[in-house]
Amino acid sequence: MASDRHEDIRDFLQQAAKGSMPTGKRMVFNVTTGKWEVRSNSERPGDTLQQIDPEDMRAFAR
Amino acid sequence: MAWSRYQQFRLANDQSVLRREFRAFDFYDRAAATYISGIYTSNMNYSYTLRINIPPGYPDECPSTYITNPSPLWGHSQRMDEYGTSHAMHTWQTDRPGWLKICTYRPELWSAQHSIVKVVRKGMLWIAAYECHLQDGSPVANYLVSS
Repeated sequence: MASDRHEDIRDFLQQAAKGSMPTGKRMVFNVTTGKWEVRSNSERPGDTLQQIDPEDMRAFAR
Repeated sequence: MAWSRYQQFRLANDQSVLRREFRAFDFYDRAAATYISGIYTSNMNYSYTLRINIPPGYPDECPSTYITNPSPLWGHSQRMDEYGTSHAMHTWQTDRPGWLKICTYRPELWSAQHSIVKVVRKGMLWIAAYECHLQDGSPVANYLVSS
């Protein structure tokens, strides 16, 4: 079930930052609500969701 | 400075995608010092103004991304702009006093294949990581991937 709770976003980002995207989950930006959501891979993606990938989380100054 | 025809085409395309994907954002000062700005309300329901300055060499030159409001932006224990260029906080030394310059792309890794929409997304993702930092003071880098 989709969650836009900050705690779930935090857990997802923290695990992804350690080098592995959480198994069975993905983080998407819901353009309808304007919020990030964590969803299970089994949920229908719809056509208004943008899924983040490792490159989205990458940059940065060193 | 005037945009070349190629740049005008690219910016028009970017604008079209931006309006579809992020309705709270739009282009301003389209003829010269063009920038994108919009208010993003985070998952924690705090509002931030993101601004992306389009450089003269766009799309071959990396845009600069700022948080212009709140100003100053406070971190867990100090102002975020006081970190200067920081890998831990994914920030650059700002060149616009009062605005926090965040790192969405490293300029040497930027190419014309990257879209402005992705810069906006990365800015919003930085804010999600920043709000994690606010809770316990841990570096923003703990919630983003280092290159």
